[in-house]
Amino acid sequence: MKSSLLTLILCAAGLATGLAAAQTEAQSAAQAGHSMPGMGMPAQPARPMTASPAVKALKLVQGWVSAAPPGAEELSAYVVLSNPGRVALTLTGVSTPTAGSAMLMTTARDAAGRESMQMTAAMKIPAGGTLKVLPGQAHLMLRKFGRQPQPGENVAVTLRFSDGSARTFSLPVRKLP
Amino acid sequence: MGRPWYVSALVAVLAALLLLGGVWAYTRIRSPFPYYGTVYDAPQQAAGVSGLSFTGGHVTPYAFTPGEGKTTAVFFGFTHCPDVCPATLAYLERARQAMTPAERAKFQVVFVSLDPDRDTPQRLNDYAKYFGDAQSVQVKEPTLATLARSYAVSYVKAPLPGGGYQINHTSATFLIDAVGKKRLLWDVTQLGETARVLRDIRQVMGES
Repeated sequence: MKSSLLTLILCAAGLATGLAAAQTEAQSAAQAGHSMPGMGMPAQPARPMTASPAVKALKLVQGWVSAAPPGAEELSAYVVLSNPGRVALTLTGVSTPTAGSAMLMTTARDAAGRESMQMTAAMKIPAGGTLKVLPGQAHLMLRKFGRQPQPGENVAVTLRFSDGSARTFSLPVRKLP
Repeated sequence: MGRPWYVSALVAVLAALLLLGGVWAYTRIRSPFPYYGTVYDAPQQAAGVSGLSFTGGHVTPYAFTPGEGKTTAVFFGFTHCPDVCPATLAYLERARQAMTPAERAKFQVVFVSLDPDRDTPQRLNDYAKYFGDAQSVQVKEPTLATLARSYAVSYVKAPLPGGGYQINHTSATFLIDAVGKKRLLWDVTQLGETARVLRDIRQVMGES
């Protein structure tokens, strides 16, 4: 009996120490900067649009293209997609008639604490989960505009998925946040 | 016989609470105000910024001298930045807009370009004023490298497929008090919490 009591106390103490350590870690993580990992790949030619039932079921929780001053050479599109289905999906590409180049980018901190954008080939949307492509975490980078999209306009952004599906969303252009 | 199991469990829970309480008390003593940003343990004198700005339609010398009375948020970025930099400038503007006019008069945002090759003072000004009210500054090398180092800001060019480059950089925003000390920093992912950012600013403003 005595030893079980001791074990319990030790466990509790361990838990408390763990929590304290987690707090310290979170603080030091907050200190690091932002990065921009992936960068531009040429947009892929338009393909016939077919959307699997799983892709059709995706819900756009929010989405917008962040406006930039005239002469900007890069814009970011942001989306939050929820996947109500039982099949995990993978976002593998982005394109838009508005920009000659569009790519999936994640923002991560490198070893020197720099935020760096990395181009990525895939972003997972777990079954029953949500993909958040939001400022400071990830973005869909658009480059090479014929005409720079302005606030109040909408941009048709086509997302491609690993199951061969594609779906187009109309995203409003607006200033952050 | 030993104690009933629930007494042991109760003792264990109490021990855990005692320990957690101790940790909480310890952190509160070290930092009496629960800042949202990451606090400098010992506030350090902030380095001044001097370079070129675009003011009144002209390129003019500009200097930010810490300690001249304004609480200042300093951010290092670049205008070909589509994600973190617009977000940072917009979030800081949101905090500024939430201030009283009296507070706003005692607060400023300074945006230093880490890409002086492409970011002319005019381009910087257009960019900064689009997202908010930051004072933008072009600081040329090698002064920029020294300045960045003094803020522990790291930056490096990263080529883009298809041409051009981005700058990978430390994205923190530094809050400097009215007497010129670096007090705390926020990460871009924290900056969207306007109310908490504003509480930090007000606390630092009130103390100095």
